[in-house]
Amino acid sequence: MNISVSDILKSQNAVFHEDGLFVFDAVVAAMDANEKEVEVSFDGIRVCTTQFLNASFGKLLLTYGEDVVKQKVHPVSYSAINAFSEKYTLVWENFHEKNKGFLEEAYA
Amino acid sequence: MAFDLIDLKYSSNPKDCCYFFDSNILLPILGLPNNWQNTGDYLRYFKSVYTNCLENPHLRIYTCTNQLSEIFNILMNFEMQKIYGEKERKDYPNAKKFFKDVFRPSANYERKFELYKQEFLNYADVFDVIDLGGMPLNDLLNFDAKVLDFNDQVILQCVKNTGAILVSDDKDFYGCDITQATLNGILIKRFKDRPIAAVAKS
Repeated sequence: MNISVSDILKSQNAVFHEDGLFVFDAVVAAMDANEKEVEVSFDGIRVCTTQFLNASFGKLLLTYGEDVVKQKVHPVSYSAINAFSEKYTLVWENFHEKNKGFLEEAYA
Repeated sequence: MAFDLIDLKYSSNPKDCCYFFDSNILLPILGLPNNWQNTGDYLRYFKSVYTNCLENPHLRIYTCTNQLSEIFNILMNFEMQKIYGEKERKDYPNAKKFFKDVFRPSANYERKFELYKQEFLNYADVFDVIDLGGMPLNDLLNFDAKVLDFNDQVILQCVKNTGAILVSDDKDFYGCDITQATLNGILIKRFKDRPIAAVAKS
């Protein structure tokens, strides 16, 4: 199944936490419908922030775990977005570090 | 002006006013994972304020160099912690020395700094950097250090000088002569239950 971020947001920008939650909800609906794989397409998206990715993919990681997300959910068509891979990697990195206490320290 | 409080739970539309967001709210805006209660609601409020500022160019979100320094120090220290493992701790027991000698000169540091910089620049069209130029040192350092840290004091003075609304979950600003927008339940209760004389004054 293919989910279009620009169709969901009706925008070229995937920036805010709230925007990420809309995409998260769409992926959850697809997972609930037993879709084997979900492609999240960024075709038509110009700007994408880590805030957005935390609320979408970060929340998916927290909800389903690393193995399920790696196996079933794939971002596609993001080549037009500046530093997308770095931001996406950052979300995964932060998920891996989540129990090490750095985050609590950062917000202290 | 007395301390005033906006309960964001019941007043989620932005005012026709400039804003100052506390550092703990700017951190998740710049990509640090959400880690505390109410973060999502603060981020929703930031979106409303940001959108309102775009539609009304006279409205701005303020930051100051002190806050920028604090935020980037936190973010880069967070990134350092990811690579400061057992072996590194053995070679460099002093984390600050590891940061300066190993992490800062690395390509990883450069990439991460650039990433966070670009995150901030996404919102640059509504942000103004303000400072306390000309403020007498006596006045700047004249604060209750048991209640506020120095970063808070700088933010407080910037907010006072501009009349901006401070969006913060921090209860330490209670009683200062500013308007604070918050979701902090303890702070909201304290404000609602304040003594009658204080109600009359505000």
